[in-house]
Amino acid sequence: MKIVDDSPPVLTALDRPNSYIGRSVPRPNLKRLMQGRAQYVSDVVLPRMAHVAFVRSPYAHARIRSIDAAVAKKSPGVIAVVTGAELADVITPWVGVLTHLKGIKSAPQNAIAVDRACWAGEAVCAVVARTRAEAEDGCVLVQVDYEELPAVTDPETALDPKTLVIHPSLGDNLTFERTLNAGDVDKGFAEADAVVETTFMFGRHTGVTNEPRSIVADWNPGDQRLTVYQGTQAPHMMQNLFAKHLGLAEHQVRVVTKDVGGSFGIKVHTYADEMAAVALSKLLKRPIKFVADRLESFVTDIHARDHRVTAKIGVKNDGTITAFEIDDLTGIGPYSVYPRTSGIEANQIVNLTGAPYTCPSYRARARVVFQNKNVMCQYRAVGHPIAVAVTEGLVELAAAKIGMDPLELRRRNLFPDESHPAETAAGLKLEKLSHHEALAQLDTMMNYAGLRAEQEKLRKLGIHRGLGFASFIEVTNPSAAFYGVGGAKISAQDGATVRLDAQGSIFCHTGVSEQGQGAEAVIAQCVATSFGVSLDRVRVVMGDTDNTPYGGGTWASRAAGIGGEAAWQAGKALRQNVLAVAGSILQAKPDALDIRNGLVVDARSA
Amino acid sequence: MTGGLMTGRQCAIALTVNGESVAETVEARQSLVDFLRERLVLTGSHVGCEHGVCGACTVRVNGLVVRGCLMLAAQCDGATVETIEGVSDSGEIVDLQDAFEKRNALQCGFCTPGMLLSAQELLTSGGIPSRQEIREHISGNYCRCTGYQAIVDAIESVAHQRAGTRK
Repeated sequence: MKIVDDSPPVLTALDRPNSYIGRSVPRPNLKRLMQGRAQYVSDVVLPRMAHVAFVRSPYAHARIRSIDAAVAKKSPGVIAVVTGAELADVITPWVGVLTHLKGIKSAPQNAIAVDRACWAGEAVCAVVARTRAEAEDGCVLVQVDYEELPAVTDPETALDPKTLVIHPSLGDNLTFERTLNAGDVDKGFAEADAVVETTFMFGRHTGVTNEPRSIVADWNPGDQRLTVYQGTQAPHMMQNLFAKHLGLAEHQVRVVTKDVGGSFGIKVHTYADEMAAVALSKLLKRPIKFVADRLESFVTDIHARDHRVTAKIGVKNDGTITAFEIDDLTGIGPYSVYPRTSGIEANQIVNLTGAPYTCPSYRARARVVFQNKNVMCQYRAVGHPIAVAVTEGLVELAAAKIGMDPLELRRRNLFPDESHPAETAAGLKLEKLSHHEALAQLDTMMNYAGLRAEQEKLRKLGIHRGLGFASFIEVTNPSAAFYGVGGAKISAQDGATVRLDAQGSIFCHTGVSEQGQGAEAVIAQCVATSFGVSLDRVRVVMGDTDNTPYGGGTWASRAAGIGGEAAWQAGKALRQNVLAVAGSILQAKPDALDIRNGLVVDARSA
Repeated sequence: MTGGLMTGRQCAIALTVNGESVAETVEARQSLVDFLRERLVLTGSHVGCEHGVCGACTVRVNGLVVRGCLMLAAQCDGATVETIEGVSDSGEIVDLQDAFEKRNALQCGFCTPGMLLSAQELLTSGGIPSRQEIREHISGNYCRCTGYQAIVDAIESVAHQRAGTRK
């Protein structure tokens, strides 16, 4: 395999000095990461810091009859043993619902289980000690008397009348249901020359970040301020939630996010054990550190993508898709995750199934049910893999059924490039997509005809080679319609503040944060380019709610798209300020001047 | 290298870490990586799985790459231990670090210190390893971000660079 060329791309006539956008540039934070000089939350140590470990339920569903902490409290190094009921005096429970997901319901979730554990792995008691090892020693000595209860595990039977209702006050185990009926689906299937129906099963999986979830919470009663060092994707969202549930004003809470050892969507949610660590700091008036170990990560980091989708497609002999229909069922554990809810993944599947194709007739039902398993929520590419697997699986089956080349069937159904702006059957608005151009290029690049010929030849020799395709539409850079409209304080916008230091370097403060995808470099590229300074003169400040503008954080590919745009605009505004001042001093019109490599120059000079 | 002197649950050890003499009393149960991170505040070695699978805790003991989570600090009496901080400061792997930077062979960076130490072990064994051999050698170092391609590219390019053969 060829190693990529190390030399930078050749300058084109379109390049001006300090053009860094669209270029591969070295990321400014790599050297410290490679030298072992990063600062992950798991590295943070504070004076008087204590460690918490949790006693976790070994049962999927159990009543907690009693907790005897007497022996654990005497264990060497143990500072405190705290139950859910005791911690509930410091932190209020939360309910993971959003008002725009009509009918979604969930039950109050506590930082530590009170009276009842609803999944194997839910924390039922906290042990705080001088070291993590001593906290774990203490956990072993906590005596919990459990009464095991029947567990709801299978989503298929979760809604049966004879199945136990996990939260009786909710009436049933249905978290959320969405139906959609576009066009005339019955007519579509009636007009089809072929109908294919099948069921797709998707198993649970999770993000498995190399650095487990980590948090250090520091409540300072002297300042009446809470500082939380947290490996999170959304510092301002967490600031709002810590304040809300600890009874503080947002200005009393500072969330600091330095280096994050992988997120992948799992670190954008509220976790009960992290909320407990923060509440324990308030209760015990000292810094508390919690770093999940690998085993507790597996039973507490959100899981995702446990779906059963029964799906149907109708197609005419000329390849026209006449109807899509899906019935999605997903089990999300005992609580809808706060604050984004566990309804969004199914919602996305309804939104995105069939999306690249013009077929106007589409019927969908998605049901989200409670079960006694670890919680499920959104994770990298929310819902997309399932919607795409279902859609493209159906398209392949339909092509086989009518004997049409699968690429040709797609060609006959994709939204024409010139049809945009267009709207999908589910109501997604599409702007300037180019599926046909992409498909034509793919056809050429892969030498499709050649590969098919080879496939046929090999098959005669008993060698079976598969060729598959998938077209998809990705939802990124979401607006407030995603979460904010439903009541979650998650900013869809981002700010950037830039300032010039006395030697002409630029500081850019941004609301987005870095977790390895290069946001720090992207922000620097945008500012350096719009202001006109070399990349090494830009310092990016991020991941600190005291020192960055309010923002949504880094998820759904929004850091570059939204944070980058804000940084670009801020750099441009600073540039205009500098050119206005320079114009006065130099007795020149600001538009006759330019900033190149940090110097004000005549715009006409080469 | 011997076991340190035990007193109850404690153990006295004397070792060299990144060229510095260290004498400490450690809990017998403390892993080497916890000792390095918590006692010596050498936080460049990371804890990812705590059971020898992910490789984030990779350090060098007496010249050999080991899992810091599977070795006890108490086993390191008399040992020479080198961590990412040591090999970075000495400049021993500067070419590898440059190649990783140039090819963006890291994203979150959590696996990178261990990855670099494993790569260095392979490259110091001499010769130009094949891409398959590179993959085999770093198979105990999990990277969840990059997909490995750029890491293999970087290691391969340094192998050629060191051998004086351009690729």
